[in-house]
Amino acid sequence: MLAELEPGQITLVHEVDRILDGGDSEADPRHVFARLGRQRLLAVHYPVEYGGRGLSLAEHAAVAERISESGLPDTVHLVTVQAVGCTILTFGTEHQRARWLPPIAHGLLFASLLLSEEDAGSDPTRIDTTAVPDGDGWRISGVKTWSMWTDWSTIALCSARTGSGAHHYQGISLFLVDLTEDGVGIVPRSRAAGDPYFVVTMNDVRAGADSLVGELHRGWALLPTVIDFERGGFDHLARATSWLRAAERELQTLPPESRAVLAGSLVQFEYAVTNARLLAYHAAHRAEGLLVDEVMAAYAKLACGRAAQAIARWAGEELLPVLGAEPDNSDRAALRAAVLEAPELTICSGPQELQLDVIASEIPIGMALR
Amino acid sequence: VNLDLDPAQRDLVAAVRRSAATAPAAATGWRVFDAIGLTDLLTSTNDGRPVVGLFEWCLILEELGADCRSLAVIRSVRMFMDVFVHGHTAAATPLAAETFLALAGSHRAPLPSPLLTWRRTGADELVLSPGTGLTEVATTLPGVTLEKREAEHITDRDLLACSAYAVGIGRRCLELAHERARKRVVARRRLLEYQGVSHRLAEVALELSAARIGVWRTAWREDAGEPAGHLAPATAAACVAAVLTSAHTAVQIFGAAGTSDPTIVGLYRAAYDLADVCGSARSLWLRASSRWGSQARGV
Repeated sequence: MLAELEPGQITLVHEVDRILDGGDSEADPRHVFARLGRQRLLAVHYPVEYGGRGLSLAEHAAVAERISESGLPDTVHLVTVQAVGCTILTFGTEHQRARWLPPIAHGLLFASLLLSEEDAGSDPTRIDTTAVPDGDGWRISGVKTWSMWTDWSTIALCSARTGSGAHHYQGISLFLVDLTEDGVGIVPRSRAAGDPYFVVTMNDVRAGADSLVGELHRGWALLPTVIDFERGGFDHLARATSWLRAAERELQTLPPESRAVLAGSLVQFEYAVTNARLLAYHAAHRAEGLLVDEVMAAYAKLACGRAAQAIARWAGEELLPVLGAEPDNSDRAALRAAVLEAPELTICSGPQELQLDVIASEIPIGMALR
Repeated sequence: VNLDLDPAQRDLVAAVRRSAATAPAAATGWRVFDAIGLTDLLTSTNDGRPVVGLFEWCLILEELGADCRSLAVIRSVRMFMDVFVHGHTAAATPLAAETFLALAGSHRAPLPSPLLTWRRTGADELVLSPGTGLTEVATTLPGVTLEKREAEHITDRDLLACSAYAVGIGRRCLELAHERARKRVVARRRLLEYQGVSHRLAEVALELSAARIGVWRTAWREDAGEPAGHLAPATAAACVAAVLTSAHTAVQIFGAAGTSDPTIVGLYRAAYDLADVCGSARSLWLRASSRWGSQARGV
């Protein structure tokens, strides 16, 4: 085993740091993404011809972790590069790859996932959105929700019903929808933790012949992989790490007697976060190309998410009340936001019940970790 | 960063498993290991480092825990190696290494226990003495007293080894509980098909995997020359908690049978024996916290 980053990963992290340090801290984060993209750092695991460096997923993980730690909106990076970009890379046509991947890798184009619909819960087969043939293309109509950073996005990977079948898994297809087309409405929906969700309404939206990803009516077979692409746990890990650091700094501001009482919990959190990080990196290390083993991904996602949740809950329950409301600072604001965001970490990208189902499908633990 | 075992480590694990599968039920952990024929490796070094480092010991001990083999003798052997052979203390002497080789090579009958006895003094020193198992061949082995820092290092390494053994017991509990849930039919459905059961097992798997990673990474750092510090009690705390959760889950999944089945009852007792050896999770976390604070202050 190896409990530290490999030299190649460290070099990449330093490259990211140089770019992050070299920019204006007030700049629009999209400009920072573009600077990272110019240096081919946003998707180092993409082939060179599509704007990447042809490196491994584990090397991309080191970059993604650093980007997340820097405070950039990592969800948009994760969804764009992993969920949408890797889907195009894996299941798209050569034309789709050549058209969409370079701007994604260069940080010039963001993308969203439009899979969830209102009241469908975590069941991606409950789809009312339809795509009907229109000349050589399609017309898509429906309402999607729980999407984030969609106001930045130019395209979205959207599931739609293209036919019926004996089973509700059948007749689902995936499309790349141009969000600048007529008939697309994007409305924010409040979210406790801050940056909003978006409700995306599509009313007879035109999608060209080259918008279909994968086989017609066979989109269901692709969906688990699409979701797995964003299930590495690194987004949750970054939250756990940054919340832990904020808590540690705030703890230092307390009188020694209060500090002593609260410090014990920090040891446990530090321990859990480090273990979760090893799990996440191991899952990336063992990936076959872009595909992470779904059982290892489930372990990593749950471990990272729960470590972050534990820190947030403790901050809300024990640390923040002791710190008091004044003076306010960025760490306290971050911890207050953490309390609000924490529940999402076992809901988004597949709720914890699904992850536990996956883990239970492959016991004992030895199989997952060796 | 990865959790892959190298080929030699995988071979070692496989060898211990094979040996455990064929050893008599009453054979101790030491007998199971010795039967592999790799005992000489324990004294071997490569670039001044033991070929069987703490990481490898943890792999061995997890397998022995998973087979519920007695820990006592092999625990003594491992500590003996640390103190007298591999130079983690000033007590190391070539003579002691020869003594150990003579000991390891001479026994044919089950090895008497203990090889080594140890106790803490009020000043946190550690007093080690040859046990009855050494009297035949180890008359030259001196008893030693380790000062606080050395004592802490030696007992930390022992704590990590015991933690690995705890992971093994927990793994066995999980395997048996999973097997039971897979076969047992209740109300025309297998137990495993009930989410209340499958999720409980998955939670145990998750907790055990974290415990194992804690053992591995701490042992790996120890072998790289980085003392475990607060991570030793932290790791033990996580392992004690995990093995107790596993043991309780096994009993629960077996139902009333779990309170009478000799294997399940044996594992349940073994889990609490480990908690007795290592300390409670709460006390271990307190120790970890105290050490962490001391390290932060540079004490």
